[in-house]
Amino acid sequence: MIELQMGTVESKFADIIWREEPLSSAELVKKSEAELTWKKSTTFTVLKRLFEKGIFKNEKGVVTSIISRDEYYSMQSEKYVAENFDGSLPAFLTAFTARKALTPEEVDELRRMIAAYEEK
Amino acid sequence: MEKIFLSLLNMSITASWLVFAVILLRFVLKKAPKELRCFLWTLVGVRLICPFSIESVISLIPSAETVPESIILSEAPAINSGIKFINSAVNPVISKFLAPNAADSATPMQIITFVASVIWLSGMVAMLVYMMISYKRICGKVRESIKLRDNVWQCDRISTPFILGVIRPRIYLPSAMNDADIEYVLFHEHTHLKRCDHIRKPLGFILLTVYWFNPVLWVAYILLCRDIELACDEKVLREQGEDIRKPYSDALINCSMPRKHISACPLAFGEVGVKSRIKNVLSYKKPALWIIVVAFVASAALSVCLMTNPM
Repeated sequence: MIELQMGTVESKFADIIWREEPLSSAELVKKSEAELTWKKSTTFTVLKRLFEKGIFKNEKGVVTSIISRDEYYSMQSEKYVAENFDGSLPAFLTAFTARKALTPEEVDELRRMIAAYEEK
Repeated sequence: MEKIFLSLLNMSITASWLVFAVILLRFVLKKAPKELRCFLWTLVGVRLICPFSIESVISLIPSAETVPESIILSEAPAINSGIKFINSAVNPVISKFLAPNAADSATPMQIITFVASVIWLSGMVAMLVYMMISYKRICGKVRESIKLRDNVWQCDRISTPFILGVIRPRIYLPSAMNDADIEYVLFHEHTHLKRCDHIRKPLGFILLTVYWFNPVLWVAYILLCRDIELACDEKVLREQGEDIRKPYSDALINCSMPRKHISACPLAFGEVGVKSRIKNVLSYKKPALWIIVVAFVASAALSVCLMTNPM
């Protein structure tokens, strides 16, 4: 799989697109200027990089996503668990809850998730 | 052009004597506050910028005009370095081989000085071009940054924190930094701004572009960069309390990078002499009064003896 991880700055920019899509590149430039104080050339440079990573695409001047925000962060979390916990989700959860115990609400939610998964 | 080059040459030789003295004093007064070193380098800067100087009997400068302007058309070219054994080694040779021939239209010294001036000017232009290109490249990278707060910005494409800009300076942090380190890095960078280092260091580099032909001044610039960082670290410890030593040096280690090249523009957090900075931070103690007094007296003496010209 090609490296499509985004840095913090690129992610903030991507959030604008995911939130506002579909939008024209001109609108994107305006929004980037308003929210990030970026010049037009900067917006286009970063946008081009994200096109190359295959996260967004440009069809006749309209920018849309190829990978949705949820999908992107799912892939990132898979990658994180694969790289740091040998792909073991239980190992990750053990580490995650080592310093702070789960709240009752979180336990309930996890139970519901497992139940729904077992039904499939 | 040749006249300018010759006076710059003489000024740089005079400044070099001062640099030797500063390096010696730095070594002898190792325990003194590093702020002293920055003051001494400022003196060197003044010597390089100011063509005039007061004359005094206690001047320790051997000669203020090592290569006199008259050498160009003189019948017996000679330098006046102020040091007998250099004079007696060099002058017989150049008087013999570079003496003018009545039949020639130009003296050998005229040709040499002209060629040297051209080389000097080209070198200076090359340095300025390099400076502008590196500046543009960094500007390009940090365009893609987002504001953290005030004048602090985060960027994906840089690997070490630094300050950019002279009039409206901004602090740039790599986005991949630990939040814990950010606090200490910002103490350091804000202290740089308070000390106006973001003006001093580029000024030093501009002097270097003019005097690039003198290797002693390159050494001075490298030492200046290191001393600026050490003095800044000490000021942070004085202001924030010595208890932050450990997390501050952790931040230094986390942000350190292998040194690539002498950079003119940014005051980079982790690039300059990290090992000696960490040692300095971990062993820092408020200096005793007597050290400060000795340092003050020594620099006053140095100022008078080496900032004035011989009579």
